[in-house]
Order: sequence, then structure tokens, then C-alpha cells
Amino acid sequence: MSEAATAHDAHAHHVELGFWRTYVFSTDHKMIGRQFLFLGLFMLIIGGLLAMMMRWQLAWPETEIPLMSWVPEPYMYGGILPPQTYNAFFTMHATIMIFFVVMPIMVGCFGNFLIPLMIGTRDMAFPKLNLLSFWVGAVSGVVMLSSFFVPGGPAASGWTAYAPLSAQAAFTGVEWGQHLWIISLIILGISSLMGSINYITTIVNMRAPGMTYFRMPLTIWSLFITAILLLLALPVLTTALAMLLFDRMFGTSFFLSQGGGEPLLWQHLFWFFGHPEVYVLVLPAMGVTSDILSTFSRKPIFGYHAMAFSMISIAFLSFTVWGHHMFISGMNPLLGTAFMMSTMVIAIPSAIKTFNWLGTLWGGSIRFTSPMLFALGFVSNFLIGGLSGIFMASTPVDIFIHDTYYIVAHFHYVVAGIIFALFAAVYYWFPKMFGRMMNEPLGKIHFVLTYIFFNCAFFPMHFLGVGGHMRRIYNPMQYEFLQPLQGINVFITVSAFLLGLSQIPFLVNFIGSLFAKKRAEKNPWQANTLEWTAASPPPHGNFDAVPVVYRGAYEYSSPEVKEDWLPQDRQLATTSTAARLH
Amino acid sequence: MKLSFFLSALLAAAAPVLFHSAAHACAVCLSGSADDPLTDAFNWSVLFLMAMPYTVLGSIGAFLFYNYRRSTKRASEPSARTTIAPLTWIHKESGR
Amino acid sequence: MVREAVARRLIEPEVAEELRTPALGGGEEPPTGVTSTQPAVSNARLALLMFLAAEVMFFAGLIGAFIVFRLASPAWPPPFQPRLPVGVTAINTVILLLSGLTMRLALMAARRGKPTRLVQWLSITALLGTVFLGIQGYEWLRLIGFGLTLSSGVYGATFYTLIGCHAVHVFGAAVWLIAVLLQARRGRFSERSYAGVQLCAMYWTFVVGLWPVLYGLVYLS
Repeated sequence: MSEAATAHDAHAHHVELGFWRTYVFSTDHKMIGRQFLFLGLFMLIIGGLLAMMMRWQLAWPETEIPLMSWVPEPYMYGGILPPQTYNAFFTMHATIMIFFVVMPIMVGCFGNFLIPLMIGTRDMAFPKLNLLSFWVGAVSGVVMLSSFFVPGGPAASGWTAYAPLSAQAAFTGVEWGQHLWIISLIILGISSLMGSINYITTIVNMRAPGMTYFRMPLTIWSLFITAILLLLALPVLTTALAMLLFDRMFGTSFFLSQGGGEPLLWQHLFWFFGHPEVYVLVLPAMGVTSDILSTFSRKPIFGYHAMAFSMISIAFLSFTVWGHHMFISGMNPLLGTAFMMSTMVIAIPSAIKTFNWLGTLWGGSIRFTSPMLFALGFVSNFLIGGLSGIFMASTPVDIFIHDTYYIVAHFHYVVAGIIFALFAAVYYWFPKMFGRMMNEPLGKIHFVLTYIFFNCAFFPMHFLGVGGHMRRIYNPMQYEFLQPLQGINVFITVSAFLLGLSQIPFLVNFIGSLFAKKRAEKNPWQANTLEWTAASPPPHGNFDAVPVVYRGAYEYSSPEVKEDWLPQDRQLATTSTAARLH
Repeated sequence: MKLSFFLSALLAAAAPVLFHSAAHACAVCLSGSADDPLTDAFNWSVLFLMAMPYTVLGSIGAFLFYNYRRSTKRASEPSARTTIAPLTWIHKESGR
Repeated sequence: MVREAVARRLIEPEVAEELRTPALGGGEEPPTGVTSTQPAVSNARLALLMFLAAEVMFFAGLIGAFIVFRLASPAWPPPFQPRLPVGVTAINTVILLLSGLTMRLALMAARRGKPTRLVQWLSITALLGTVFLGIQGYEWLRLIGFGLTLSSGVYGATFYTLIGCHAVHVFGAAVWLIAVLLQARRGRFSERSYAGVQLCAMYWTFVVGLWPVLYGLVYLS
């Protein structure tokens, strides 16, 4: 680091790079973070539109979707969604939302943007690897989107791609779409691998002087643990995807029983990756939420060490629970019981986190800014999603609600709930990223509308699920027992459309604020962490001088100073003992 | 009265663990029978895969721990100390 | 420069205290604010270590799949499938293990600053690696001649994917090794800077260490 740092010192303020090196092939971690943000937001729009079309089909089956009559014949028939395209749409909706929205934004964007700033260093450990990581990820996104335009359409076997459905083109009628899906995810795996290696190395080796592990903000803790999870879980997905690709292209039969293969093996390998992946998605959201809740309650985070250790134990347990996705697939009952127990144990660290968030809020002087509102929204949605998860962890209950809309409700409360943390993070760090504040009233309107319609859209899905409404079903009206529930479906669809429309204030706010005249201050939220000591937006090389850290990240309302915040790098003459306590 | 209620509740809660074969109300556990070699194969595979992340993390952790210990020792060797000790002493002498 | 900074900083008593407490990596260095001490494990080594962790998990996935097929099938190899060349591959295993040893010797030569020794040991390692790959390729050709292909059931498929993935890694490691060898011949490495050799040796050791596991699983079980 020393050489790199001094080299940076010499050049820090006189770098004149061309357009391409500044905005496209930049090695600056902040620009790469912004690139990931724009990639993720673009994909969010596509994934959201796919969901809208699916919702139309579920509420008013086989009627013409407005504005969609231009889509050519095999994909839509005069705006009517055929079953094949419906399958493709829910597959791509999930794939895009998980791999190209939440992962690029929560891990890619905020990981890249925040890690060097929050630990007080000038850039990532390997800036060129970082550049490569984004562009490999972008190629993967292009490959994924290009599958919309190949004959047969995109992959249609669900984002879980269960074999043998996914292992033979004849089963879904999709040849190249599924190939491209597999190839795209393998490429994305390489991108994530480069990213996580970079994150871990940076956090372990490049922290600012005085920034001990237990002075790191919880966002950094969460990203650190996420990177470790990605590092260990994604290669197994790559294995499984490679085997699936071999099955489809080179005539092997790993997942095809007619060649002696074992379809269950796919689920086994996929969920070994898939469950840690869930925590890859949710841990950064938890970290971001912890920071935001503490900042806007003007109180130290409740139980900092408990928060860090509960994230570690979530990560630790996440490799022992993947079987709970396969209760119905057939499994030794003993193994099933073990998976059920370990799954329920994971509720404990999650509950610790929730209660510590509440403890942070308790008695705080809360400022209801947009980031705070969205963080609170995340906590409440995560609570509902977490509680419905416990029902599914229990095998006897799972038999009845498996593959119904109950599970759709559950994972949307968790994963679409992460979008709340995502918005919170965007509102919170927007001033640091782009040097301008986002509009507060618009942000509040965005929150209220999103929160109401989110719950209207996803909560009734629990009722549908308990009523027996199958997941991934094309036309619920063809079953007599589902016809009385159709009213709920219509209600959900209307709410989903309104939820989609509620994102317009955000888009207006985001784009408008990008070009706003008024510049943001250095520390608009009066927060403690190191990124707020840099300029907004930070220049190449981030800090004038690498900061020295004297305390933890959560010294709000400290009696040592008259303001209610105490930045990590402020040196107090009289409070050396207070600093040492952390 | 209260104790017996508590005990019976505890027993009821523990029943699925203790009598899992009776309690596995699984409608489609076709491949779950214990004497099927496939079940056995999956059990071993699950155990193997479950153990791997901890093995990998454990070995890396041990490697890093060993290296940090070594570099710490190197830093606290007398040759490294000598530069610091007189300086500290000067500071004390300065009487500030 | 560092000493000056340390002296300046030592005015603060708690900083002096912190200086006496041992440094732990990037974070807990003396707060000089000017420069850092070298971390215990350099960035490049740490990154390679992480990469190897991912590699191990990749192979763990393949081995997990192999375990399922191996234990679920009543006869292994399945009937009408050729036997694998256990004997020749045993010799090949010894060759690869020897190359691991010569790589350690090369690393020791680099550490002691003996450039000719370094080049010699690296060349021997590269030669042994190439011989390993050659024998593997020859055996593969024979097996394909006997009718064992990717599409001949899970036996062939697991064999070619597991062993093939390893062979690709050996190939990659050999290319890297040859690049390091060329650098060493141009005198790039010295006692003080031999990180290139060290990293390559780490990767080579991984590739060599993985092989006995795969040999035991695929050929002997």
C-alpha cells in the first residue's frame, strides 16, 4: 500500500484522464461503483416491466396487454402472453432481479464505492481487476439480455433451472436462450469472483491506521462477510452450470436419468450456492440499514459486537441449511430434520439483528429523512419475510405451502424488501456519489407510495398461497378451486402496477438531482464514518491525507463533544481513554 | 399443574426430533428410504459439501493467523524495538 | 521519513502506547498517517489465496457430484466400460509430486538469491509438468479409443470433467511457470523481490496437491 499511496499522493490532484479513461474504462473505485449503479438501475426497469406483464396475465388471463401488441408472433399474440413466454418472463424476472439488480447495486456498487472510502484508503487493492470485474459483469448482462432476441426466446425453466427441465432443450423448447443463460451466469461468476477477491484483500490489508476490525462500520463488516460467502458459494454454481452446459451441448448426462444421471444432483449443487446467495443479497442490506438507522437515530448502534457476530454466524450457518429448499424433492428424513433444525437456528442471529435495530431506535432523536424511512421499511419487510420463512423451515408445514404463492410472498418480502435498503442506500450516499442532495419531499412521496403498494402487492400473496395457488402458474382461472381467489389476484395486480408507477418520483428525483445546481456539503447527514470526511464527490485518491482513526463508527450524541456526532478521525485532546474503550 | 403442562409442551416440541421416522409426514419422500444407495450417496455428498467451506476457511484462517503471529514477532524483536524505545524515553524526558 | 513521522507522533502518549502494541495487518499499525508497515501477507498473496479458496470450492462441487454417482452405482466402473490406467497414472502422480518438490527447491533458491539454481529448478519443474500433461493426454487418447467418451454415461462424464478440469489447471499453471521461467532467465528476481516466483509456487503447489485427491477418488475408489 505504501508505494501505491505515495504514488497517488504525487498524482492525486493533477490527474487529467480522457473521457474513456474517466467514465468508461475507469480504474477509480468510485466510478466503477457508479457504473454498477447505472447497470443495476437499468436492469431494475427491465425486471420490473417483466413483472408487470406477468401480473397482467395473472389478473386477466389471456387478454391483450396494453401497449404490447407490437411484439412479434411467437412471443406474444397481439399482446396476449402465451404460456411459453410467460415461463420465459418469470425466469428472466428472477434472474435479472437477483443477479443483475440486487447483486450489482448492493455488492457491486456500494461495495466498490464504500469500501475504500469507509476504511480510509485511496482505492481498492487491485484497481485494474476492479475495472475488469465491472466489464466482465457488463458483458454477462449483455449476454443475458441478448437471449431475448434469439430464436426460441430466453430461458424458461425458472431461475432455479431445475434439471431435467433445463437439461434438455426439448422440455422447454428453448435451445439457445438457456445456453446463453448458463453462459451469462458463468461469466457473472467470474466477475463476482474478481470483485470478492478485491474486497477481501482491500479490507484485510488496506485499512487506515487505527481502523481495527472492530472499528469498521457495519456496512463494511457486511460487505466483508458477503465477499467471503460469494467466494465460497459461487464456484459451486459455476460447477453446476458447467455440468448443465455439458449436458446440453456435449451429450453428457449428469442431470438426465436416461443416461444414468441424477436430476436431484442439480438441486443439491444449486442450493448449496443458492442459500448462501440469499445471504449475499441480504447481508449488505442489513449492514447499510444498521449504519443509516444509527445515523438518523443519533445514537450508537445497539450492540455493535452482537451485530457483527450475528452476521458472522449467519454466514457460518448459511452453508448448512441449503437442504430446506429440497424438502419436497425427496430426502432422507434424518437429513431433513437436520436441515430443519439448522434453518431454525439461523432465525436467532436474524432476530438479534432485528432487536438491535429496535434497540438503536429506542429513545433516539429520530430524523425521518428519506434514507431513514426506507431503512425502517426494510426492517419491517425483513421482519415479515423472516417470520414467514420460519413456517417454511418446518418440514410438515412446508409440504403444504411449498411451491405456492406463500413462498412467492416470502421471498419477495425478503428480496424485494432489500430494494428498500437499496433505495435507502441510494438516498443516503447520493450526495457522496454525485455531489448533490436528492429532493427530500419527492423522496418521502416515493417512500410512502412504495411502502403502501409494496405491502398491498405482496401481503395478499400469503392468502393465495394458503389457498393453494401454485407458484409459476400461467392461468389460475383454469382451476375451479382458484377461481374464488381471483379477486385477490386482481387486487395484487393493480397494486403492483401502482407500485411500478410509484417509482416515477424516484426516477425524476434521481435524474433531476444529478443535474441540480446546488452542491452537497461534505457531511450533510452529520455522520461519523470516514467517507463523510472526504469531499462530495471525493476526488481521485479520495482523501487529502489518509485519515487516522481514533474510534468506532457510531459515536453519536457523545458527551465528549458538544455536537451530537463525533467523526472517526477527529482527534480529541482530552478523551484518549474514551477512544481506547473502542 | 404448571410444571406438567410445561413438560408435556416440551415433549410435544421434541417429538419430531426424537421420532423423526414416525413424524416425517412426507408425502413424496420416494427417494428417502434409508436402504437406498442413492440416499446414502446424497448423505455423504451433503456431508462433504457442508464440511468444505469450513475446511477452506479454517485453513486460510490458520495460515493467516500463523503469518500475523510471525510478523508480530518480527516487529517486536529487539532490533525493531530499539528505534522506538529511545524516542519514547526522549518524550518522557521532555517533561511535557 | 518514517522515523521523523514516528517521532512527531510520539508526542501523544497514547500513540506511543499504541506503537508498542504489536501491529496486526493493515488496520492496527501505528497511526503515523504517513505510511504503513508492510502487511503480514501481501495483497497479491492474499488475493491468490482467496482465488485458491474459490478453486477448491469449484473442485468440491465436482467431487460432491462424483460422490453421488460413485456411491449410488452398484458397480464402478459400470459394466462394459473400460478400466482406467491405474498403474501408468500412479507413475504420473509421482512425476507431478516430484515437480511440486522441485518447485519448492526453486522457491528456496529464489529466497537465497541464487539465480542459476532458480532457473534450473524452474526448468525441471516445467519439464515434469509437461511430461505429466503429455502422459495424461496420451492416456486420454487411448481411453477415447476404447470408447470412453463424455457421452458414455456418468462414468465417462465425471472422469473427463474432473480430470479435464485438473488438466486445464495444470496447463494454466505450466504457462504461468514458463512465463516466470523466462523472467527468471532475464534476471528479474533477487533475494529481495521474488514475489513472482512465490505466487507461481503457491499456485503450482495447489495444482500438485489437488492431484493425489483426484487420483485417489477417480482411479482408486
